[in-house]
Amino acid sequence: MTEAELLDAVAGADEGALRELYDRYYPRLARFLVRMTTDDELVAEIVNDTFLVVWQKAAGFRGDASPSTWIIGICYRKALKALARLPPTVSLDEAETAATAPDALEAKLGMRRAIARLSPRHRAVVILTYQFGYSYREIGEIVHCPENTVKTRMHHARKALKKLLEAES
Amino acid sequence: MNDHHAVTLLLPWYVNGTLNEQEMASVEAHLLGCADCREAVATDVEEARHLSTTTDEARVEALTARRAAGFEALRGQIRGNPPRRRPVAPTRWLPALAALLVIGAVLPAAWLTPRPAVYELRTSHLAHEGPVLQLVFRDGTSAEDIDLLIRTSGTLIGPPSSGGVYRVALASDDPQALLERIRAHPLVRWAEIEL
Ligand SMILES: [Zn+2]
Repeated sequence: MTEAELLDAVAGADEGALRELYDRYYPRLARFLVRMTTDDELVAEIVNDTFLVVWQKAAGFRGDASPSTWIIGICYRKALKALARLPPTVSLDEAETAATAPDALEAKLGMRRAIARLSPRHRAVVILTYQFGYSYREIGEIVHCPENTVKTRMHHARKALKKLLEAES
Repeated sequence: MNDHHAVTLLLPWYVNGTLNEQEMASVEAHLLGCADCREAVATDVEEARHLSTTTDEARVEALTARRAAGFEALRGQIRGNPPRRRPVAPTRWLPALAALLVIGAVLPAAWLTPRPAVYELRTSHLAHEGPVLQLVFRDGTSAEDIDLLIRTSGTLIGPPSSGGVYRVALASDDPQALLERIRAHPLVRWAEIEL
């Protein structure tokens, strides 16, 4: 079944179709979310928050976006909401350093730390572009923004990244 | 027109290969004459490479392995929450239905087709100078991984040879360091810089 067909079945309260989408999307959403938080419990929680919305609103999926940008968009908004609840002091730096120090190059660590320090909105466009390979049009669908906003947001994110990297060295 | 600024805004998607033909051509034309933008491309390529080579796959796998328990928890949540009904327009339903029929005749194929792969191998129209990398991937490496690795190293020159050798014009000031990194990549079987 295509993802659009699965969403259609979910709209009809088909739990099996929900399970299928959940299995297909779990790694993709996790790959996005581990960039947004170091807290694995929170990652699992945001995935479930996302799928609760998918379950309830599948009938509202219209096919003017792709299932993928629709679902990742829900996940993005749930992540922003969850991160806004957290104190900003949760340090990505130390956890990331500990996780990668043995074999990582210094420059790589610098880049990771810098990306981790971007604001969640900036970090998300960077990840969606460079790691997920989405076009700015698709990112516009995901983050519910006009395309020009996506472009300027990315522009600001790169500027911030440059500053952070300069501060590193 | 402020060509430079407009191109600057497009560069991240030039690097990830998702611009349309027209945008691609205008960026490449501008790059020929703008050293600042060429430098920005190199920086973007570097960022993309860092992101693609530090994916925290172990965490993703550990989380994904636990998803059955996650789904059980989700089932508990959805029990009392049936999906919302499809929204219906009670008034003026006839024109709406007619519109749906017209749209229906045209669109469903597009809706149901999976989105086209973001990753397709792109070759540059630019003349290249500087170091060229040859590389061979391990059997079973996905097109997506091949494309990402190539894009984050430089620009693909032409299609791969029948023996599976890809040639990439390197976008790096330090080709030797890049070569070492590429050789260390688990999906790369062989890599060498052309003499
Ligand atoms: Zn320029």
